[in-house]
Amino acid sequence: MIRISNLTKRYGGTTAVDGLTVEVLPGRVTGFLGPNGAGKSTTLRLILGLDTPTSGSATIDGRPFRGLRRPLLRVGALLDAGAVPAGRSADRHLTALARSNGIPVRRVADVLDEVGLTAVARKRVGGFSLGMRQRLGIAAALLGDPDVLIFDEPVNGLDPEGIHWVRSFFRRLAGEGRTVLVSSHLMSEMEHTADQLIVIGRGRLIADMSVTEFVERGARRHVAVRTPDGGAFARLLTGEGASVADGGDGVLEVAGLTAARIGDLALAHRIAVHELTPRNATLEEAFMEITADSVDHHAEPEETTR
Amino acid sequence: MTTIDLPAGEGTRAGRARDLIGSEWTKLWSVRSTYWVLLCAAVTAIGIGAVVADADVGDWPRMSPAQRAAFDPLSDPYIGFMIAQLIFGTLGVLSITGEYSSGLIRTTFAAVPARRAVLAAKAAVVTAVTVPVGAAIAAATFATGQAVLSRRHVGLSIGDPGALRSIGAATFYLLAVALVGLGLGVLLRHAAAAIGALVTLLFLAPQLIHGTARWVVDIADALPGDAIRRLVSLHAQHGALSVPQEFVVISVYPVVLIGAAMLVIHRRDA
Repeated sequence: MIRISNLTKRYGGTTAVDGLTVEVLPGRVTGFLGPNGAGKSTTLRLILGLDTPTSGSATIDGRPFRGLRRPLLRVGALLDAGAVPAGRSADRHLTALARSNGIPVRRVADVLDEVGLTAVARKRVGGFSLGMRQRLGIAAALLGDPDVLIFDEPVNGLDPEGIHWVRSFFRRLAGEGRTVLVSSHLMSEMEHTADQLIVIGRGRLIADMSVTEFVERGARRHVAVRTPDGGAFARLLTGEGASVADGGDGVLEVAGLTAARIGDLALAHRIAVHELTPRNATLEEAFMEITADSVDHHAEPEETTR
Repeated sequence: MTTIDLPAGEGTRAGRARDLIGSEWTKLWSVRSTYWVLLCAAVTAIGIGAVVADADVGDWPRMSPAQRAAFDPLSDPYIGFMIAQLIFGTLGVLSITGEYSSGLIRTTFAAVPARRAVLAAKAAVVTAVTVPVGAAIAAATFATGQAVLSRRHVGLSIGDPGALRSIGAATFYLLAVALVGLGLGVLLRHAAAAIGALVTLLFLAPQLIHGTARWVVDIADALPGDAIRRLVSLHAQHGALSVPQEFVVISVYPVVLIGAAMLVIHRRDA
Protein backbone atom coordinates (compact mmCIF):
# COMPACT_ATOMS: atom_id res chain seq x y z
CA MET A 1 0.00 0.00 0.00
CA ILE A 2 1.14 3.52 -0.79
CA ARG A 3 0.21 6.22 1.68
CA ILE A 4 0.72 9.86 0.77
CA SER A 5 0.06 12.39 3.47
CA ASN A 6 0.03 16.13 3.08
CA LEU A 7 2.70 15.88 0.41
CA THR A 8 4.00 19.18 -0.93
CA LYS A 9 6.82 19.88 -3.36
CA ARG A 10 7.90 23.32 -4.44
CA TYR A 11 10.56 24.07 -7.02
CA GLY A 12 11.56 27.66 -6.53
CA GLY A 13 8.31 29.59 -6.78
CA THR A 14 6.23 26.86 -8.43
CA THR A 15 4.24 24.41 -6.39
CA ALA A 16 4.19 21.11 -8.26
CA VAL A 17 2.40 19.10 -5.58
CA ASP A 18 0.22 20.88 -3.06
CA GLY A 19 -0.84 19.16 0.17
CA LEU A 20 -1.74 15.84 -1.45
CA THR A 21 -3.20 13.19 0.84
CA VAL A 22 -4.26 9.86 -0.63
CA GLU A 23 -3.95 6.12 -0.18
CA VAL A 24 -3.35 3.61 -2.93
CA LEU A 25 -4.74 0.24 -1.90
CA PRO A 26 -3.76 -3.28 -2.95
CA GLY A 27 -5.88 -5.59 -5.07
CA ARG A 28 -7.00 -3.03 -7.60
CA VAL A 29 -5.68 -0.92 -10.42
CA THR A 30 -5.60 2.72 -9.41
CA GLY A 31 -5.52 5.24 -12.22
CA PHE A 32 -3.58 8.39 -11.49
CA LEU A 33 -4.96 11.09 -13.71
CA GLY A 34 -4.51 14.71 -14.46
CA PRO A 35 -3.74 16.99 -17.34
CA ASN A 36 -0.10 17.39 -18.38
CA GLY A 37 1.73 19.40 -15.77
CA ALA A 38 -0.71 18.48 -13.01
CA GLY A 39 2.06 17.05 -10.84
CA LYS A 40 1.67 13.33 -11.53
CA SER A 41 5.29 12.58 -12.35
CA THR A 42 6.53 14.72 -9.47
CA THR A 43 4.30 12.78 -7.09
CA LEU A 44 5.69 9.50 -8.40
CA ARG A 45 9.27 10.77 -8.01
CA LEU A 46 8.48 11.77 -4.43
CA ILE A 47 7.03 8.32 -3.70
CA LEU A 48 10.23 6.75 -5.05
CA GLY A 49 12.50 8.99 -3.00
CA LEU A 50 14.04 10.55 -6.10
CA ASP A 51 13.02 14.04 -5.05
CA THR A 52 12.80 15.23 -1.46
CA PRO A 53 9.39 16.61 -0.44
CA THR A 54 9.19 20.20 0.77
CA SER A 55 6.83 18.88 3.44
CA GLY A 56 4.66 15.85 4.08
CA SER A 57 5.55 12.26 3.37
CA ALA A 58 4.99 9.22 1.22
CA THR A 59 5.41 5.68 2.54
CA ILE A 60 5.40 2.19 1.08
CA ASP A 61 3.83 -0.30 3.49
CA GLY A 62 4.49 2.20 6.26
CA ARG A 63 8.14 2.84 5.43
CA PRO A 64 9.71 5.75 3.59
CA PHE A 65 11.13 4.57 0.28
CA ARG A 66 14.66 5.71 1.00
CA GLY A 67 14.74 3.46 4.05
CA LEU A 68 14.32 0.35 1.88
CA ARG A 69 17.50 -1.69 1.39
CA ARG A 70 16.34 -3.78 -1.55
CA PRO A 71 13.47 -1.74 -2.94
CA LEU A 72 13.00 -3.77 -6.11
CA LEU A 73 11.59 -6.59 -3.95
CA ARG A 74 8.83 -4.27 -2.72
CA VAL A 75 8.30 -1.61 -5.36
CA GLY A 76 8.70 -1.91 -9.11
CA ALA A 77 8.53 1.27 -11.13
CA LEU A 78 8.48 2.32 -14.74
CA LEU A 79 9.17 6.04 -14.86
CA ASP A 80 10.58 6.78 -18.28
CA ALA A 81 10.81 4.09 -20.91
CA GLY A 82 13.51 5.99 -22.78
CA ALA A 83 15.86 5.94 -19.82
CA VAL A 84 18.27 3.23 -20.91
CA PRO A 85 21.62 4.02 -22.54
CA ALA A 86 21.22 3.22 -26.22
CA GLY A 87 24.36 1.09 -26.34
CA ARG A 88 23.28 -1.41 -23.68
CA SER A 89 21.34 -4.57 -24.46
CA ALA A 90 18.02 -5.33 -22.77
CA ASP A 91 19.55 -8.35 -21.12
CA ARG A 92 22.56 -6.46 -19.68
CA HIS A 93 20.37 -3.59 -18.48
CA LEU A 94 18.13 -5.93 -16.51
CA THR A 95 21.11 -7.95 -15.26
CA ALA A 96 22.70 -4.82 -13.78
CA LEU A 97 19.42 -3.92 -12.09
CA ALA A 98 18.86 -7.43 -10.75
CA ARG A 99 22.37 -7.61 -9.35
CA SER A 100 21.97 -4.30 -7.54
CA ASN A 101 19.23 -5.85 -5.40
CA GLY A 102 20.70 -9.32 -5.05
CA ILE A 103 18.05 -10.80 -7.34
CA PRO A 104 19.23 -14.02 -9.06
CA VAL A 105 20.23 -13.24 -12.64
CA ARG A 106 18.05 -16.14 -13.90
CA ARG A 107 15.08 -13.94 -13.15
CA VAL A 108 16.03 -11.67 -16.09
CA ALA A 109 15.04 -14.33 -18.63
CA ASP A 110 11.71 -14.81 -16.82
CA VAL A 111 10.67 -11.16 -16.98
CA LEU A 112 11.87 -10.76 -20.57
CA ASP A 113 9.70 -13.72 -21.45
CA GLU A 114 6.79 -12.24 -19.52
CA VAL A 115 6.81 -9.04 -21.59
CA GLY A 116 7.60 -10.79 -24.87
CA LEU A 117 11.12 -9.48 -25.43
CA THR A 118 13.04 -12.77 -25.32
CA ALA A 119 13.87 -12.60 -29.03
CA VAL A 120 15.59 -9.21 -28.71
CA ALA A 121 17.20 -9.77 -25.31
CA ARG A 122 20.71 -9.31 -26.66
CA LYS A 123 19.91 -6.44 -29.01
CA ARG A 124 20.98 -2.94 -28.15
CA VAL A 125 18.18 -0.84 -26.69
CA GLY A 126 19.01 2.00 -29.11
CA GLY A 127 17.26 0.06 -31.85
CA PHE A 128 14.07 -0.52 -29.83
CA SER A 129 10.75 1.09 -30.69
CA LEU A 130 9.02 3.09 -27.96
CA GLY A 131 6.64 0.18 -27.46
CA MET A 132 9.54 -2.24 -26.92
CA ARG A 133 11.09 0.18 -24.46
CA GLN A 134 7.82 0.34 -22.54
CA ARG A 135 7.87 -3.45 -22.35
CA LEU A 136 11.47 -3.38 -21.16
CA GLY A 137 10.53 -0.85 -18.48
CA ILE A 138 7.67 -3.08 -17.35
CA ALA A 139 10.06 -6.04 -17.25
CA ALA A 140 12.40 -4.02 -15.02
CA ALA A 141 9.53 -3.22 -12.66
CA LEU A 142 8.70 -6.92 -12.37
CA LEU A 143 12.26 -8.10 -11.59
CA GLY A 144 11.86 -8.28 -7.83
CA ASP A 145 8.30 -9.65 -7.96
CA PRO A 146 7.15 -6.66 -5.88
CA ASP A 147 3.80 -6.08 -4.19
CA VAL A 148 3.65 -2.48 -5.28
CA LEU A 149 3.92 -1.47 -8.94
CA ILE A 150 4.08 2.06 -10.29
CA PHE A 151 3.80 2.83 -13.99
CA ASP A 152 4.14 6.36 -15.38
CA GLU A 153 2.34 6.65 -18.73
CA PRO A 154 3.00 3.01 -19.65
CA VAL A 155 0.70 2.99 -22.66
CA ASN A 156 2.52 5.69 -24.64
CA GLY A 157 3.89 4.25 -27.83
CA LEU A 158 2.22 0.86 -27.57
CA ASP A 159 0.37 -0.53 -30.55
CA PRO A 160 -3.26 -1.71 -30.13
CA GLU A 161 -2.13 -5.26 -29.39
CA GLY A 162 0.31 -3.91 -26.79
CA ILE A 163 -2.37 -1.74 -25.20
CA HIS A 164 -4.68 -4.72 -24.91
CA TRP A 165 -1.87 -6.77 -23.41
CA VAL A 166 -0.88 -4.13 -20.89
CA ARG A 167 -4.47 -3.63 -19.72
CA SER A 168 -5.08 -7.30 -19.02
CA PHE A 169 -1.61 -7.52 -17.52
CA PHE A 170 -2.32 -4.75 -15.00
CA ARG A 171 -5.65 -6.36 -14.17
CA ARG A 172 -3.88 -9.66 -13.53
CA LEU A 173 -1.29 -8.03 -11.28
CA ALA A 174 -4.07 -6.39 -9.25
CA GLY A 175 -5.93 -9.69 -9.19
CA GLU A 176 -2.88 -11.23 -7.53
CA GLY A 177 -3.41 -8.77 -4.70
CA ARG A 178 -0.77 -6.23 -5.72
CA THR A 179 -1.00 -2.47 -5.50
CA VAL A 180 -0.97 -1.13 -9.05
CA LEU A 181 -0.71 2.60 -9.67
CA VAL A 182 -0.89 3.70 -13.31
CA SER A 183 -0.58 7.31 -14.35
CA SER A 184 -1.99 8.68 -17.55
CA HIS A 185 -3.21 11.91 -19.04
CA LEU A 186 -5.62 9.97 -21.23
CA MET A 187 -8.92 9.41 -19.48
CA SER A 188 -10.20 7.01 -22.10
CA GLU A 189 -7.26 4.75 -21.23
CA MET A 190 -8.33 4.40 -17.62
CA GLU A 191 -11.93 3.57 -18.40
CA HIS A 192 -10.93 0.05 -19.36
CA THR A 193 -8.07 -0.43 -16.95
CA ALA A 194 -8.67 1.15 -13.58
CA ASP A 195 -10.98 0.33 -10.69
CA GLN A 196 -10.16 3.40 -8.70
CA LEU A 197 -9.25 6.88 -9.86
CA ILE A 198 -7.11 9.53 -8.26
CA VAL A 199 -7.39 12.78 -10.17
CA ILE A 200 -5.15 15.75 -9.53
CA GLY A 201 -4.94 19.18 -11.08
CA ARG A 202 -2.38 21.85 -10.29
CA GLY A 203 -0.87 19.53 -7.71
CA ARG A 204 -4.07 19.20 -5.71
CA LEU A 205 -6.42 16.28 -5.22
CA ILE A 206 -9.58 16.71 -7.27
CA ALA A 207 -11.13 13.29 -6.93
CA ASP A 208 -10.43 9.95 -5.30
CA MET A 209 -13.23 7.52 -6.12
CA SER A 210 -14.18 4.41 -8.06
CA VAL A 211 -14.51 4.68 -11.82
CA THR A 212 -18.30 4.14 -11.67
CA GLU A 213 -18.72 6.76 -9.01
CA PHE A 214 -16.54 9.14 -10.98
CA VAL A 215 -18.65 8.86 -14.11
CA GLU A 216 -21.88 9.27 -12.18
CA ARG A 217 -20.64 12.18 -10.16
CA GLY A 218 -19.05 14.06 -12.97
CA ALA A 219 -21.34 13.51 -15.86
CA ARG A 220 -24.77 14.71 -16.60
CA ARG A 221 -26.57 11.70 -17.94
CA HIS A 222 -28.82 12.98 -20.62
CA VAL A 223 -31.23 11.89 -23.29
CA ALA A 224 -30.67 12.93 -26.88
CA VAL A 225 -33.94 13.92 -28.52
CA ARG A 226 -34.12 14.56 -32.26
CA THR A 227 -37.18 16.47 -33.25
CA PRO A 228 -38.20 18.86 -36.07
CA ASP A 229 -40.05 20.97 -33.50
CA GLY A 230 -37.14 21.75 -31.19
CA GLY A 231 -38.07 25.20 -29.93
CA ALA A 232 -41.55 24.33 -28.70
CA PHE A 233 -40.53 20.97 -27.21
CA ALA A 234 -37.61 22.56 -25.38
CA ARG A 235 -39.94 25.07 -23.70
CA LEU A 236 -42.30 22.27 -22.78
CA LEU A 237 -39.55 20.09 -21.28
CA THR A 238 -38.10 23.01 -19.35
CA GLY A 239 -41.58 23.60 -17.95
CA GLU A 240 -41.56 19.98 -16.76
CA GLY A 241 -38.33 20.62 -14.79
CA ALA A 242 -35.71 19.35 -17.28
CA SER A 243 -32.62 21.23 -18.28
CA VAL A 244 -32.26 21.35 -22.02
CA ALA A 245 -29.18 22.08 -24.07
CA ASP A 246 -28.92 22.40 -27.81
CA GLY A 247 -26.83 19.51 -29.03
CA GLY A 248 -26.78 20.92 -32.57
CA ASP A 249 -28.02 19.18 -35.72
CA GLY A 250 -31.65 19.25 -34.50
CA VAL A 251 -30.84 17.35 -31.31
CA LEU A 252 -31.85 18.42 -27.81
CA GLU A 253 -29.78 17.17 -24.87
CA VAL A 254 -32.24 16.71 -22.07
CA ALA A 255 -31.20 16.08 -18.49
CA GLY A 256 -33.45 15.57 -15.49
CA LEU A 257 -36.13 13.46 -17.20
CA THR A 258 -36.12 9.81 -18.21
CA ALA A 259 -36.44 8.77 -21.84
CA ALA A 260 -39.85 7.21 -21.07
CA ARG A 261 -41.18 10.42 -19.58
CA ILE A 262 -39.90 12.47 -22.53
CA GLY A 263 -41.60 10.04 -24.96
CA ASP A 264 -44.89 10.26 -23.04
CA LEU A 265 -44.74 14.07 -23.09
CA ALA A 266 -44.10 14.08 -26.84
CA LEU A 267 -47.08 11.81 -27.43
CA ALA A 268 -49.38 13.87 -25.18
CA HIS A 269 -48.48 17.08 -27.00
CA ARG A 270 -48.41 15.51 -30.48
CA ILE A 271 -44.76 16.39 -31.13
CA ALA A 272 -42.88 14.28 -33.64
CA VAL A 273 -39.74 12.62 -32.26
CA HIS A 274 -37.26 11.01 -34.66
CA GLU A 275 -34.78 9.80 -32.11
CA LEU A 276 -34.77 9.23 -28.38
CA THR A 277 -31.47 7.95 -26.96
CA PRO A 278 -30.37 7.79 -23.31
CA ARG A 279 -26.66 8.64 -23.10
CA ASN A 280 -24.06 8.05 -20.40
CA ALA A 281 -21.12 10.40 -20.34
CA THR A 282 -17.77 8.82 -21.02
CA LEU A 283 -15.03 8.98 -18.44
CA GLU A 284 -13.38 11.56 -20.62
CA GLU A 285 -16.42 13.86 -20.44
CA ALA A 286 -16.70 13.30 -16.71
CA PHE A 287 -13.08 14.24 -16.34
CA MET A 288 -13.42 17.42 -18.36
CA GLU A 289 -16.37 18.41 -16.27
CA ILE A 290 -14.78 17.65 -12.91
CA THR A 291 -11.47 19.31 -13.68
CA ALA A 292 -13.18 22.30 -15.30
CA ASP A 293 -15.11 22.72 -12.06
CA SER A 294 -11.95 22.78 -10.03
CA VAL A 295 -10.31 25.25 -12.37
CA ASP A 296 -13.39 27.50 -12.09
CA HIS A 297 -13.10 27.42 -8.31
CA HIS A 298 -9.48 28.46 -8.53
CA ALA A 299 -10.22 31.29 -10.90
CA GLU A 300 -13.32 32.68 -9.26
CA PRO A 301 -13.86 32.06 -5.58
CA GLU A 302 -17.56 32.87 -5.91
CA GLU A 303 -19.29 29.93 -7.47
CA THR A 304 -20.80 30.74 -10.82
CA THR A 305 -24.20 29.37 -11.69
CA ARG A 306 -24.52 27.13 -14.65
CA MET B 1 4.06 -15.48 -11.51
CA THR B 2 7.39 -16.23 -9.97
CA THR B 3 8.89 -19.61 -9.40
CA ILE B 4 12.27 -18.36 -8.34
CA ASP B 5 13.69 -17.81 -4.91
CA LEU B 6 14.16 -14.12 -4.39
CA PRO B 7 16.41 -12.93 -1.60
CA ALA B 8 14.62 -12.54 1.71
CA GLY B 9 15.31 -9.65 4.02
CA GLU B 10 17.81 -6.92 3.55
CA GLY B 11 21.07 -8.78 3.15
CA THR B 12 24.29 -8.07 4.99
CA ARG B 13 26.32 -4.93 4.44
CA ALA B 14 29.05 -6.87 2.69
CA GLY B 15 26.49 -8.72 0.59
CA ARG B 16 24.90 -5.48 -0.55
CA ALA B 17 28.30 -3.99 -1.37
CA ARG B 18 29.08 -7.05 -3.48
CA ASP B 19 25.71 -6.73 -5.25
CA LEU B 20 26.25 -3.06 -6.03
CA ILE B 21 29.76 -3.56 -7.35
CA GLY B 22 28.53 -6.45 -9.49
CA SER B 23 25.79 -4.23 -10.88
CA GLU B 24 28.20 -1.41 -11.74
CA TRP B 25 30.65 -3.87 -13.24
CA THR B 26 27.91 -5.14 -15.55
CA LYS B 27 27.01 -1.58 -16.55
CA LEU B 28 30.60 -0.60 -17.32
CA TRP B 29 31.31 -3.57 -19.55
CA SER B 30 27.96 -3.58 -21.34
CA VAL B 31 28.65 -0.48 -23.44
CA ARG B 32 31.20 -0.45 -26.22
CA SER B 33 32.63 2.93 -25.27
CA THR B 34 34.48 1.34 -22.33
CA TYR B 35 36.46 -0.93 -24.63
CA TRP B 36 37.21 1.86 -27.09
CA VAL B 37 38.27 4.30 -24.42
CA LEU B 38 40.71 1.84 -22.89
CA LEU B 39 42.08 0.81 -26.27
CA CYS B 40 42.55 4.47 -27.22
CA ALA B 41 44.39 5.18 -23.98
CA ALA B 42 46.75 2.24 -24.55
CA VAL B 43 47.51 3.09 -28.16
CA THR B 44 48.04 6.76 -27.37
CA ALA B 45 50.28 6.27 -24.34
CA ILE B 46 52.44 3.52 -25.79
CA GLY B 47 52.46 4.89 -29.34
CA ILE B 48 53.39 8.46 -28.49
CA GLY B 49 56.03 7.19 -26.07
CA ALA B 50 57.62 5.06 -28.80
CA VAL B 51 57.52 7.93 -31.32
CA VAL B 52 59.12 10.37 -28.88
CA ALA B 53 61.81 7.85 -27.95
CA ASP B 54 62.47 7.25 -31.64
CA ALA B 55 62.86 11.03 -32.19
CA ASP B 56 65.32 11.14 -29.29
CA VAL B 57 67.29 8.33 -30.90
CA GLY B 58 67.40 10.31 -34.14
CA ASP B 59 68.47 13.54 -32.38
CA TRP B 60 71.10 11.88 -30.25
CA PRO B 61 74.09 12.40 -32.62
CA ARG B 62 73.36 16.14 -32.85
CA MET B 63 73.02 16.67 -29.07
CA SER B 64 75.71 18.61 -27.22
CA PRO B 65 77.34 16.96 -24.19
CA ALA B 66 75.29 19.27 -21.94
CA GLN B 67 72.10 18.22 -23.67
CA ARG B 68 73.07 14.58 -23.33
CA ALA B 69 73.70 15.06 -19.62
CA ALA B 70 70.32 16.71 -19.17
CA PHE B 71 68.51 14.07 -21.24
CA ASP B 72 65.95 12.16 -19.17
CA PRO B 73 65.38 8.71 -20.69
CA LEU B 74 62.84 7.85 -17.98
CA SER B 75 60.36 10.69 -18.48
CA ASP B 76 60.43 11.08 -22.29
CA PRO B 77 58.40 7.96 -23.17
CA TYR B 78 55.70 9.00 -20.68
CA ILE B 79 54.81 12.07 -22.77
CA GLY B 80 51.85 10.17 -24.23
CA PHE B 81 50.32 10.16 -20.75
CA MET B 82 49.45 13.80 -21.34
CA ILE B 83 46.69 12.50 -23.59
CA ALA B 84 46.09 9.14 -21.90
CA GLN B 85 45.29 10.86 -18.61
CA LEU B 86 42.45 12.74 -20.29
CA ILE B 87 41.11 9.51 -21.74
CA PHE B 88 41.12 7.85 -18.31
CA GLY B 89 39.44 10.91 -16.85
CA THR B 90 36.80 10.62 -19.54
CA LEU B 91 36.19 7.00 -18.56
CA GLY B 92 35.40 8.20 -15.04
CA VAL B 93 33.19 11.01 -16.33
CA LEU B 94 31.22 8.72 -18.65
CA SER B 95 30.63 6.10 -15.98
CA ILE B 96 28.16 8.52 -14.37
CA THR B 97 27.15 11.16 -16.95
CA GLY B 98 25.80 8.41 -19.21
CA GLU B 99 23.23 7.71 -16.49
CA TYR B 100 22.30 11.35 -16.16
CA SER B 101 21.94 11.97 -19.89
CA SER B 102 19.83 8.89 -20.53
CA GLY B 103 17.74 9.29 -17.37
CA LEU B 104 18.90 5.88 -16.15
CA ILE B 105 20.02 7.54 -12.92
CA ARG B 106 16.40 7.59 -11.71
CA THR B 107 16.03 3.88 -12.35
CA THR B 108 19.32 3.34 -10.54
CA PHE B 109 18.28 5.36 -7.49
CA ALA B 110 14.79 3.84 -7.45
CA ALA B 111 16.55 0.48 -7.25
CA VAL B 112 19.19 1.62 -4.76
CA PRO B 113 18.15 4.62 -2.65
CA ALA B 114 21.51 4.50 -0.85
CA ARG B 115 23.07 6.84 -3.39
CA ARG B 116 26.43 7.18 -1.68
CA ALA B 117 26.74 3.41 -1.82
CA VAL B 118 26.08 3.58 -5.57
CA LEU B 119 28.83 6.15 -5.97
CA ALA B 120 31.20 4.11 -3.82
CA ALA B 121 30.49 1.06 -5.99
CA LYS B 122 31.18 3.09 -9.14
CA ALA B 123 34.45 4.31 -7.66
CA ALA B 124 35.36 0.72 -6.77
CA VAL B 125 34.67 -0.47 -10.31
CA VAL B 126 36.59 2.43 -11.87
CA THR B 127 39.49 1.52 -9.56
CA ALA B 128 39.26 -2.18 -10.37
CA VAL B 129 39.53 -1.39 -14.09
CA THR B 130 41.97 1.50 -13.99
CA VAL B 131 44.63 -0.07 -11.80
CA PRO B 132 45.37 -3.23 -13.82
CA VAL B 133 44.84 -1.57 -17.21
CA GLY B 134 46.77 1.53 -16.16
CA ALA B 135 49.62 -0.59 -14.78
CA ALA B 136 49.76 -2.62 -18.00
CA ILE B 137 49.84 0.55 -20.10
CA ALA B 138 52.50 2.15 -17.90
CA ALA B 139 54.67 -0.98 -17.98
CA ALA B 140 54.26 -1.35 -21.74
CA THR B 141 55.07 2.35 -22.25
CA PHE B 142 58.23 1.97 -20.18
CA ALA B 143 59.28 -1.24 -21.90
CA THR B 144 58.62 0.03 -25.43
CA GLY B 145 60.23 3.43 -24.85
CA GLN B 146 63.31 2.00 -23.23
CA ALA B 147 63.67 -0.66 -25.92
CA VAL B 148 63.75 2.11 -28.53
CA LEU B 149 66.22 4.21 -26.50
CA SER B 150 68.52 1.24 -25.97
CA ARG B 151 69.52 1.56 -29.63
CA ARG B 152 71.67 4.49 -28.36
CA HIS B 153 72.48 2.60 -25.18
CA VAL B 154 70.65 5.19 -23.04
CA GLY B 155 67.64 2.97 -22.31
CA LEU B 156 66.93 2.00 -18.74
CA SER B 157 66.10 -1.43 -17.37
CA ILE B 158 63.38 -2.14 -14.87
CA GLY B 159 65.97 -2.54 -12.15
CA ASP B 160 67.31 0.99 -12.56
CA PRO B 161 66.51 3.61 -9.90
CA GLY B 162 63.20 5.31 -10.50
CA ALA B 163 61.97 2.76 -13.06
CA LEU B 164 59.50 0.90 -10.84
CA ARG B 165 58.53 4.14 -9.11
CA SER B 166 57.63 5.67 -12.45
CA ILE B 167 55.36 2.74 -13.39
CA GLY B 168 53.69 2.78 -9.97
CA ALA B 169 53.26 6.56 -10.01
CA ALA B 170 51.89 6.60 -13.56
CA THR B 171 49.34 3.91 -12.62
CA PHE B 172 48.36 5.74 -9.47
CA TYR B 173 48.02 8.96 -11.42
CA LEU B 174 45.70 7.43 -14.04
CA LEU B 175 43.53 6.07 -11.22
CA ALA B 176 43.45 9.50 -9.56
CA VAL B 177 42.43 11.25 -12.77
CA ALA B 178 39.72 8.65 -13.48
CA LEU B 179 38.26 9.20 -10.00
CA VAL B 180 38.50 12.97 -10.45
CA GLY B 181 36.50 12.46 -13.65
CA LEU B 182 33.88 10.45 -11.75
CA GLY B 183 33.60 13.16 -9.09
CA LEU B 184 33.30 15.93 -11.68
CA GLY B 185 30.72 13.87 -13.57
CA VAL B 186 28.52 13.63 -10.46
CA LEU B 187 28.92 17.32 -9.63
CA LEU B 188 28.31 18.65 -13.16
CA ARG B 189 26.08 15.85 -14.55
CA HIS B 190 26.96 16.66 -18.17
CA ALA B 191 29.84 14.96 -19.95
CA ALA B 192 30.91 18.08 -21.83
CA ALA B 193 31.00 20.23 -18.70
CA ALA B 194 32.86 17.59 -16.70
CA ILE B 195 35.46 16.98 -19.40
CA GLY B 196 35.88 20.75 -19.77
CA ALA B 197 36.58 21.02 -16.06
CA LEU B 198 39.02 18.16 -16.34
CA VAL B 199 40.89 19.86 -19.21
CA THR B 200 41.02 23.05 -17.17
CA LEU B 201 42.55 21.27 -14.21
CA LEU B 202 45.00 19.16 -16.19
CA PHE B 203 46.04 21.50 -19.02
CA LEU B 204 44.96 25.09 -18.47
CA ALA B 205 45.77 25.49 -14.79
CA PRO B 206 49.48 24.71 -15.26
CA GLN B 207 49.61 27.31 -18.07
CA LEU B 208 47.81 29.98 -16.08
CA ILE B 209 49.55 29.49 -12.77
CA HIS B 210 53.02 30.71 -13.59
CA GLY B 211 55.31 33.04 -11.70
CA THR B 212 58.14 33.32 -9.27
CA ALA B 213 56.28 34.51 -6.19
CA ARG B 214 56.46 31.94 -3.41
CA TRP B 215 52.70 31.39 -3.21
CA VAL B 216 52.39 30.93 -6.98
CA VAL B 217 55.13 28.32 -6.88
CA ASP B 218 53.36 26.61 -3.98
CA ILE B 219 50.12 26.38 -5.97
CA ALA B 220 51.93 25.20 -9.07
CA ASP B 221 53.66 22.51 -7.00
CA ALA B 222 50.26 21.36 -5.78
CA LEU B 223 48.90 20.71 -9.30
CA PRO B 224 48.55 17.02 -10.10
CA GLY B 225 50.23 17.30 -13.51
CA ASP B 226 53.39 18.77 -12.02
CA ALA B 227 53.50 16.12 -9.33
CA ILE B 228 53.35 13.26 -11.79
CA ARG B 229 55.94 14.88 -14.08
CA ARG B 230 58.40 14.92 -11.23
CA LEU B 231 57.56 11.36 -10.19
CA VAL B 232 58.41 9.95 -13.62
CA SER B 233 61.62 12.00 -13.93
CA LEU B 234 65.07 10.66 -13.38
CA HIS B 235 66.48 14.00 -12.31
CA ALA B 236 64.44 15.19 -9.35
CA GLN B 237 64.22 18.95 -9.01
CA HIS B 238 65.70 20.19 -5.80
CA GLY B 239 63.58 22.19 -3.41
CA ALA B 240 60.40 20.54 -4.63
CA LEU B 241 58.33 18.04 -2.70
CA SER B 242 59.53 14.64 -1.56
CA VAL B 243 58.29 11.51 -3.31
CA PRO B 244 55.68 10.66 -0.63
CA GLN B 245 54.51 14.28 -0.69
CA GLU B 246 54.02 14.09 -4.45
CA PHE B 247 51.81 11.04 -3.96
CA VAL B 248 49.82 12.94 -1.37
CA VAL B 249 49.34 15.84 -3.79
CA ILE B 250 47.97 13.46 -6.41
CA SER B 251 45.64 11.80 -3.87
CA VAL B 252 44.10 15.03 -2.64
CA TYR B 253 42.22 15.69 -5.89
CA PRO B 254 40.16 12.48 -6.09
CA VAL B 255 39.56 12.50 -2.34
CA VAL B 256 38.18 16.05 -2.38
CA LEU B 257 36.11 15.60 -5.53
CA ILE B 258 34.63 12.21 -4.59
CA GLY B 259 33.92 13.64 -1.13
CA ALA B 260 32.07 16.60 -2.61
CA ALA B 261 30.22 14.26 -4.96
CA MET B 262 29.12 12.12 -1.98
CA LEU B 263 27.61 15.16 -0.29
CA VAL B 264 25.82 16.41 -3.38
CA ILE B 265 24.49 13.10 -4.70
CA HIS B 266 22.76 12.37 -1.41
CA ARG B 267 20.89 15.65 -1.19
CA ARG B 268 20.13 16.66 -4.72
CA ASP B 269 16.83 15.76 -6.42
CA ALA B 270 17.51 13.09 -9.02
